[in-house]
Amino acid sequence: MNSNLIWLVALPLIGSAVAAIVVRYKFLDRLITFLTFATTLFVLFSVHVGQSYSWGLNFLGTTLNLTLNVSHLSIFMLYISIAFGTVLTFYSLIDHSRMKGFLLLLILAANNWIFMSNDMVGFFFAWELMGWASVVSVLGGREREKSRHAALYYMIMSVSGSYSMFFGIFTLWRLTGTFSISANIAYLSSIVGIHPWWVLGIVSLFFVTFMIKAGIFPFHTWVPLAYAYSPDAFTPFLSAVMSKYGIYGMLLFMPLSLMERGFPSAFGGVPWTNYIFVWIGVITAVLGTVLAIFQDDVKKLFAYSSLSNLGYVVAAIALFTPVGITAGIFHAFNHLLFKGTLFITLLAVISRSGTSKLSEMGGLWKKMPITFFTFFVGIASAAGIPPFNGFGSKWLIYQAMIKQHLPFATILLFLASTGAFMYLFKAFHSIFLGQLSHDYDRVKEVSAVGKITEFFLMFAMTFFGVQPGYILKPIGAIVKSMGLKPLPVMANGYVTGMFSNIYVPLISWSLAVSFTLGFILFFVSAKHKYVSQENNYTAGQIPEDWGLTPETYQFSWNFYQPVEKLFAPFFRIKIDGFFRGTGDWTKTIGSAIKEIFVGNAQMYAFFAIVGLIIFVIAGWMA
Amino acid sequence: MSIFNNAALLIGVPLLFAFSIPLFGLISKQLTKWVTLFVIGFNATFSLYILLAHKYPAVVVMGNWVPPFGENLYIGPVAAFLVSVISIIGLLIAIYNLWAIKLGDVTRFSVLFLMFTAGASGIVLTGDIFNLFIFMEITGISSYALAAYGPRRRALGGAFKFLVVSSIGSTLYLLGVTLIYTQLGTLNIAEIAARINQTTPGLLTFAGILLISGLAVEAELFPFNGWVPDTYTGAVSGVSASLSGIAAISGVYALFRIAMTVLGRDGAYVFTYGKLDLMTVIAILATTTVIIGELSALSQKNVKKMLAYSSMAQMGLVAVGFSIGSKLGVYGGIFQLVNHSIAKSMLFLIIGVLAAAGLGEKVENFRGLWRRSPFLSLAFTIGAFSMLGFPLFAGFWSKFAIVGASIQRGGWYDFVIGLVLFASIVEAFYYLRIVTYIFSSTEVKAPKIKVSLSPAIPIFVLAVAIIAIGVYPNFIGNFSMQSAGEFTHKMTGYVLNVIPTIVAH
Repeated sequence: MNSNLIWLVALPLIGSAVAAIVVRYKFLDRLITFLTFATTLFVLFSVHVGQSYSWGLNFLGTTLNLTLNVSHLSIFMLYISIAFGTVLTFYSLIDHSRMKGFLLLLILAANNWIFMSNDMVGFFFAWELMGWASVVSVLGGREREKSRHAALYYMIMSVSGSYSMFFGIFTLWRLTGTFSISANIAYLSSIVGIHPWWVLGIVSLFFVTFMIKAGIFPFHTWVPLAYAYSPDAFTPFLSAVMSKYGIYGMLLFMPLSLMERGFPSAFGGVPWTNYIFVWIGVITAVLGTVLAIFQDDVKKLFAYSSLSNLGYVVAAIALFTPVGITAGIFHAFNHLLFKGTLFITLLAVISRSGTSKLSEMGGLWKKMPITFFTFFVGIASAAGIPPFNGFGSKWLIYQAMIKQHLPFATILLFLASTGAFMYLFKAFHSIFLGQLSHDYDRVKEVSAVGKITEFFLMFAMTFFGVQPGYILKPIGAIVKSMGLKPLPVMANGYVTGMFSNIYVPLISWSLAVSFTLGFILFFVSAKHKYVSQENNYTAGQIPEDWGLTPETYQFSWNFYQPVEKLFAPFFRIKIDGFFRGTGDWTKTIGSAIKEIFVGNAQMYAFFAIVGLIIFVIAGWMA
Repeated sequence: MSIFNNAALLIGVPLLFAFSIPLFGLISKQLTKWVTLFVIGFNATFSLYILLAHKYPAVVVMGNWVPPFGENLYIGPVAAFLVSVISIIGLLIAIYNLWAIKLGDVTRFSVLFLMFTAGASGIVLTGDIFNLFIFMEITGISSYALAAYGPRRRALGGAFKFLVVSSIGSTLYLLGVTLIYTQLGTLNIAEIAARINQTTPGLLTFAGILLISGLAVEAELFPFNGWVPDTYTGAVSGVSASLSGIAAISGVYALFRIAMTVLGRDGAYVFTYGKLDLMTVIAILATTTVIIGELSALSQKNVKKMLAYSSMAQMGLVAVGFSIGSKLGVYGGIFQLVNHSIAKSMLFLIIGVLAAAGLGEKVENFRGLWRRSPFLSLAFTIGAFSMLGFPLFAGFWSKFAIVGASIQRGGWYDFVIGLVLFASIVEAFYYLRIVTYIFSSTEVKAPKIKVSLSPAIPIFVLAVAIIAIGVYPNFIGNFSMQSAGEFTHKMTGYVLNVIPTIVAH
């Protein structure tokens, strides 16, 4: 019994209550939030793998044991989520969006509980808590009405997912009589050979929930809305941390390893359940990339980008091979770091410029140089460029795919990666390069707190890029705890793959040297003429004559028009339409049923009598 | 069998004061509301004393005629628990009424409200099916009149519909009672329960159908719930709150006292009589009610009407819980019943305060409420979240238990709970729509809403209760658990406590 575990849940709850009382004073609310995050991180230092804590809840007629249990996976997730949350809340001290700190603390409590819980009651409780707290957090973005719709949409998806899991939890309980997660998974593993379909059905109930939370195709439709219209300070947490709950849940159930026992295998020795799941991941990755390319709202762009990255993660972990799981968790971590950073820099940019439209920005790099460099490192990571942190995991994912002989999936993932360059460059170019609008003449760099955060994040992305071993070692322990053979980690600088190993410091040094050489050559070779950002390039034409307004004249207007034309036929298929159709259909039935209750007293009396007569006849016949 | 005759005061005192209130009204109309408040306060204190000092199980005998010969009240875990809930919610509504009831005939309103509370307590306490009928009529007639109170014409329409449907229900119930009396020659619940197998199966089935159809009116089960939307919408908010907070409790109690204790079998899942399984019938009715209630509420733009439909649906959920028949299911049902009463009466009170502040009843009127009144907004959100069964709020635990019990029972209950969960998604949508409206802001600057102390107290107490139960469910949970035992084990839980010497036939 380690009572320090309970503090990981209790502390945020207490902090939340305190912050809720002072919620009217925004800075105080944020300060308490930050302090609670920092304290929780401090408490986390005393938590070690193998600790557990349980307490009885006198409920359902018996004493339910709520158990917290620290596994390798949970401690990894706890560290990355709380550490990121601490950085974010530190930044949020200077932020003015309508994020409510106390709701973030509620999510933190749920976060810690989800990652530690070893019983389904606590897991469900925390999951639902996280669900509603995040939905309420989404309310209050810059565009109020859109944010309201996004919250409702997210809510319905989230609740549907929860109820699906609800059903799954009790079905397992009926079968095993216990709520313990590990016991139930052991039970499922033991019967998967005998009743593969049953197990698949039950596991699907859980997986629907996890896929909704992680925003995996075909349940991705809420992601762009919720990300784009949530308060800017909450979006980093939503994208970086909250999408990982789904991944965590999938990893919990992955050890079932449906492959070896129950199901025949498809191509490449992958059982077909996993094979389908790999493809779901690949489709998500491609879909996210393609849609991201055409967004004008930068938060929507990066929402689709998150979607795409989670597709990579799912494709990798669905393989359930040592390198696949390693690559998946590694990429989840990397995504947390770089996408969190990107959304934080976006928060900085949006708070200064007041817009999230790419076509309204431009040329901000001189005004916000540190933010610019942070953003640059962020997109370099996201694109998987070697010295930064996104590289190792993408490289491992390709290896894992090739190892299982899945050429088509690999090619599509490569394609998605190329597409990622396109949208990342678009965002980079449209926000920071090019012409500065006069509206932004007075824009300033973020204040000291923001700069500190940005320097720290830049450092982290470079550090984990150059020294991936610090992350790969704990992931190795997770892989081992799942009963797989972990990849050897040779030294902190190595990414150890299936076919070859890469010594990242070497690459970094060679890149650094070649870039330096390039810069030297650039400066000594030719004469440069420095032009101001205002310097125009209309070639003597008057823009108005060509029907160009200042808005359309911005170079990011229809940035990828040719590509867009290429993909236009595919945009007609709308997954969103299915959900909205179901909603409309329910509404229509609702309106029809409501007509029952518009009658007068005779009508209701008639209903009652008819009901009685039906009973009597039923009783007679039965 | 222990005798605790003082408990008759729980019905006697309110009735006595109900009839003497016109005398107080001669002094001052305001005084009558205070008298009501104190009388219900006495009920609340006394019933809490019974509950917390564990004075139950006990029998109240009239004129020293021990059951089954005389009329008796029985205070078991269920009665002690539910009377406490009824009186406390009644007390809170009486506090609210101090502020809300100003126009019209205040004196008669007070009389009716006291009679209403007395009747509802009587239903829960009585040990006699004919007295149950009488208390039903007392509650019913006072609630028609209460529902018609107020300046608005639509109140009259709603009350009339309630009157018609409810009278049909009472008649059916009375017919059922008559049939049973002709068979067994007794009206005592405990004795009927013990000797139920001595009846002719066919007649018993018919009697069961009549009783259940009659009681389903108050328990708001389809197709006997046509009165619900109009009556709830038409009545003033305090009355809607008492209908959903008090009358619903006694209605569901009466239905399942008859279905489970009188007609049921001991400690079993299935209650078959003749060939008709009454619990299946109730389960079908309940599921239909949930679905119809939630779907009707979906496209409803009037918040008060939406709450009325939701109330109907929640009663369906409660009935689903009871109809499972296992201890866990009944536990979930009672727990949900209490949670629903707390949350729904609070929501209606909030609507009342908002209506008095000139806010319309349309969903759109709630836009930007957060800026106008953070207190009411938070309370409304808490109530809505409790309805939806979100964690940290009371509703989570009861919904959890009902779903758990359904899936534990398995079979076609998997299907039932699947439908109920689907309906819950619909419910989530329409409640969340209001909540999102509350927190989205408007451009128009609207004045702040002042909430005076007398309506603020009940709303605050109920909101705190929801969170308290949500964080610490054991408090209500323990009472619900004991109550569930009384329903599921009718001999040891009920009959033998009333008549220790009786032998089941």
